[in-house]
Amino acid sequence: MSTRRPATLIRIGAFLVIAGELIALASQFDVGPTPFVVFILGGGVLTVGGALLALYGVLRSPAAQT
Amino acid sequence: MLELIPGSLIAIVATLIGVLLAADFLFRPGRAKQGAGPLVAAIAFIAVPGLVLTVGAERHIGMSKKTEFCLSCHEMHPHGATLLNAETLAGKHFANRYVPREQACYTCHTEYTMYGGMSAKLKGLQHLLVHYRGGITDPIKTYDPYSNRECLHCHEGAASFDEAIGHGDELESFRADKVSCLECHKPAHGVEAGEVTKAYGGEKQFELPKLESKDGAH
Repeated sequence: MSTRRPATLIRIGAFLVIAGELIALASQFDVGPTPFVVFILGGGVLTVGGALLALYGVLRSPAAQT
Repeated sequence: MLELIPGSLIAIVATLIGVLLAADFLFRPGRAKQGAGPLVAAIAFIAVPGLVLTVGAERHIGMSKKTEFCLSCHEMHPHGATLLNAETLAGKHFANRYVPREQACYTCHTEYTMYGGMSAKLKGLQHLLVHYRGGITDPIKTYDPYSNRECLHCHEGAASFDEAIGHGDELESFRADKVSCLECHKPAHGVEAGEVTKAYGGEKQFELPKLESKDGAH
């Protein structure tokens, strides 16, 4: 079985997690109410979605050959 | 200039760790099942995001209780302005510090039940949808009739409440919401029809209350 597809899922998921966490972090700054809501909700959705995608990729990855 | 909210250090450190761990999987996805790969993946994609989102949510809940947060939407400006009008119930509470000024809206408009805080947050999300999609009623109405429970949470048992004529005799009626506190203590805000629409469209400016940096009420 090819490992390319799980690897792609992990890459996309990891990228979304990084983007989501950085966007959520921006909400920690005093940016005003509307950007704050956008940052916290947008960052949360990206992080959760990315984490689920990456974990799905990890579960689908074949075990390493020893 | 951006001002960092105090106490955000955990979020920053957790985010940096999360970004570094996730970046490792971004560039080396093949390590997911090698050695400690699954454990690291669990930390990178479950533990750290969970921590970041928990801290973020805690910050969000704290910030969204603030009066300035509620009044940041134009359509709420008429209601905010009534905090300066001591003829209204809201104004009396604000002027006499019956409510913490920095959380004036939240203190009266949350529900004092086990999941009242969560319910208030869900309603807040509903407010956001209405704000961005339009369809705001004018005058604004609460989703449910205002419950005396929110008034009695603070006032029941207070000497000023017990000594007021009629309160003692009607206490059970108040508790059961058979008689609304607002029947005698009105207007709650006194916002007139049309003001919300004008404020939402930016046609009319309202004088908003000045909030102190630290509230010592109660």
